[in-house]
Amino acid sequence: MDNSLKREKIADGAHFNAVCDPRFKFNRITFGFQVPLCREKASLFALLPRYLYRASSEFPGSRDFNNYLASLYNARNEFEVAGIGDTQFLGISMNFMDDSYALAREKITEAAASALFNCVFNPVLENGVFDANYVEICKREQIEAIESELNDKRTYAANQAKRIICEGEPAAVNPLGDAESTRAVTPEALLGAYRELLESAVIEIICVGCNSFTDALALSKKAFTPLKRMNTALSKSAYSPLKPVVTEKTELLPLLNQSKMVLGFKTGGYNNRAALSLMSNLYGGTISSKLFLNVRERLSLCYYCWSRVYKEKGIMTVSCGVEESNIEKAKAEILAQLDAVKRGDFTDGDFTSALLYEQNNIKTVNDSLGSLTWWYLTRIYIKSIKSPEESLADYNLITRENLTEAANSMTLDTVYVLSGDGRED
Amino acid sequence: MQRTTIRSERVREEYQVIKHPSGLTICLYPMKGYSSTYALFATKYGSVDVTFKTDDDDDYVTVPEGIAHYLEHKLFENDDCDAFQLFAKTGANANAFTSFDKTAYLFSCSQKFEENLEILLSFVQEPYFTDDSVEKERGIIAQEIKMYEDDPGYRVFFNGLQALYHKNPVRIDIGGTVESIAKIDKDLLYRCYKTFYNLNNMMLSIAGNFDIDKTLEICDRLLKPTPDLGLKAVFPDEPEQIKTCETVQKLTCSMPLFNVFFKLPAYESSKGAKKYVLYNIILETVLGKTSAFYDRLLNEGLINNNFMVGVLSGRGFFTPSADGESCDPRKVFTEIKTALKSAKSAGLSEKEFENVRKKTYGELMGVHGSVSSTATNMVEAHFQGNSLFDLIEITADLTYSDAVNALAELDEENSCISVIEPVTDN
Repeated sequence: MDNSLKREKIADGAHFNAVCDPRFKFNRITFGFQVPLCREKASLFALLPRYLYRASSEFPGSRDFNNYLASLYNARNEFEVAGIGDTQFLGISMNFMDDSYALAREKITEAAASALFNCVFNPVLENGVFDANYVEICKREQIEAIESELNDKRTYAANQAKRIICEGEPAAVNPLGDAESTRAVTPEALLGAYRELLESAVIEIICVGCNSFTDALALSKKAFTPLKRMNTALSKSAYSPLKPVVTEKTELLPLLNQSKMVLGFKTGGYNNRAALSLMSNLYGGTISSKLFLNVRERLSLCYYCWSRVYKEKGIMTVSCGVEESNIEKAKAEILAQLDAVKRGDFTDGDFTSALLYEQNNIKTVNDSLGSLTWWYLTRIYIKSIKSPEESLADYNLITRENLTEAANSMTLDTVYVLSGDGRED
Repeated sequence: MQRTTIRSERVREEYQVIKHPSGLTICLYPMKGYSSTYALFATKYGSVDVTFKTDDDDDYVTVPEGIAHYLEHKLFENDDCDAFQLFAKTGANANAFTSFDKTAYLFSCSQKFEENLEILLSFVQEPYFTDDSVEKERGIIAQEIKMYEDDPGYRVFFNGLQALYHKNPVRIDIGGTVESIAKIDKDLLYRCYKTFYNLNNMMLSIAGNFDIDKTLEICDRLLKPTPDLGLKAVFPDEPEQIKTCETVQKLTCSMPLFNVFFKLPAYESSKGAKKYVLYNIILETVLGKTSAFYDRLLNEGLINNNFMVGVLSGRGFFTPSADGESCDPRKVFTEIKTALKSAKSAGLSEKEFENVRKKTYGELMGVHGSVSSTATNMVEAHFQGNSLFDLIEITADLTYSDAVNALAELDEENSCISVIEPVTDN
């Protein structure tokens, strides 16, 4: 069976995509909305998937809806809010088991798909606007989610660093928005944002699983027919400009045992995506990388020390957890190892390992509904739609020289440190 | 070599269980059409195994807390190279984990499976510890311990187990403490290795894209037979009642986190599997997203969508639990106990029980769509004396009266709450 992506335009700026593969026992349908990430609207848009996924006019009570989904063998509704470059991504999805595995062969597929479409296109309304009680619950949850970023110090440090690295750019905005703007959202404003989303967001519906998804396609076409779509163009994310002077920022928190350090580097527009991936693998992306072998294994400075590239923005970060007294030592070694990669100081074996690791990861994408969904969403976003197999060729073309080029494109932009303030319990 | 096929008509899948002459149990679950393979070489040895003896020992020995985890870190290093370096040459994703009752070394790959399997089987069977290498690892593990000390989600969980249990070693942090790992040396590591990394105490679990015959040929060639040492790991007698009903710690976090645990005796094998499913379904029915409890507390602002229920179970421990974030965790704790008490007296909703049973069935079916979940769950099932398909079969056959009876056995008052409170400015 042909399991390549089938893509069809269903309205201006809206596409239906399907990957049908009979080996799966489950299906997943995702609505992906993309809008420009901006401080003024981030909180408002972020609330929408949280509001929409929990009920619909068919099942206006979220408890009733949850019971209905449970009866469909854990048909699972989820939402996601994320930043990809300068874009805010809003996702609502439904995962569900194929009918043939149900205990009494109940019809799951049609019901689950219909439930998702109802969530998106027939939201719960009260007096013509979004339900005030649900809106309040969603606002509270969103504020708690924004504030609870602090709970995971690694994530907190990485996000704080990213805000400094991209200061003044859309990518610096928290995709969940901020607490103050969230508090100010009214049911009327949320309804307005919903209409704006349906009218002008870039919309990708992605279906992956064992179903043929012909019914989902018909539902999509029917749902989009009455919609007036306009202004659906989305600007490409801009490469983050290098700051004239390295920004150094230290933040102090009470009762912190371990400091976190994040270094931010910028490529200055270098755009060989495959070379950037392989360079990061070799430098700090794997258990045989230079950072792992030197900062962790040789110097015993950290439990974790890894690099990550954000290709849309031309950024690489290195994150580590380190004893406060060893911060400078760790920083020096992290920079020294990048210099080594810049000089080409790595073996052919190191280069091959970075390539094999990437190939391994890409081939593994095919085995999961979630990975395939995310793979195609990002490929569509960068306007280079390729299957995992097709994209392998891009990596096979990369040479040692490309890899050193990618490393040499990196310039230190930001040093962020999160440390304890000396207070003890 | 004894070979058994375990098949499920419901899942429409099967796997092979092989008792290898070396003493190792091998579970092989090929998945047609999948690109990747996931393999775990695991030992029934975790953080709870601190007191043990073999037939060769006169008496029980007690070792420092965190030693199973320390051993996991050290085993990747052999005398001539590091296993990570070998995996790097194949591009595999290699890792390891230590839990309460097991340690596993694993890789995931979509190419060079046989080469990866050879690396896995070799390095786990070839320990090499020196004073220097053990010392070098101490700093890395200390940083790992400190990282978790700052993690409210991790601390709320372990603090709760310390409130629940008096002596059961599940109350010990898996990594130990900076102080306890200071007592670990190479001789202790070798002793633990020789005791627990005996193939009779281990298993190999593989799922995904691989050839059974080639896999067994590699096993025949590389597995080193080991005599059964008559291993006995013991747990101290644990009182039936909880140790303390509340534990509180302050950390940097945005709002209070809580974890509630209910104390029940540990169950073995098939009885444990049924209890595991039952209590998951009971808690989900009474407290989960389909319940009136969840709906009301969410509306009242006492919980948010991070509220979860579940069952923590393993060798020697079994505890239904609930966790989440709340501005008033103690109120939530009271409400949880009231809801359970009320379900006992008024009865569970049969319709909601049925919905949650179907939900659980769907969740368990989901395991079989992922190579990593399949391989990992085979380890879990085997070490608990079950087959991979047992949980789904139990769920399919479960009745409402099973749930009512199990609910009656749960004493909601024999429970504790762990709270992490945000540190204030003063």
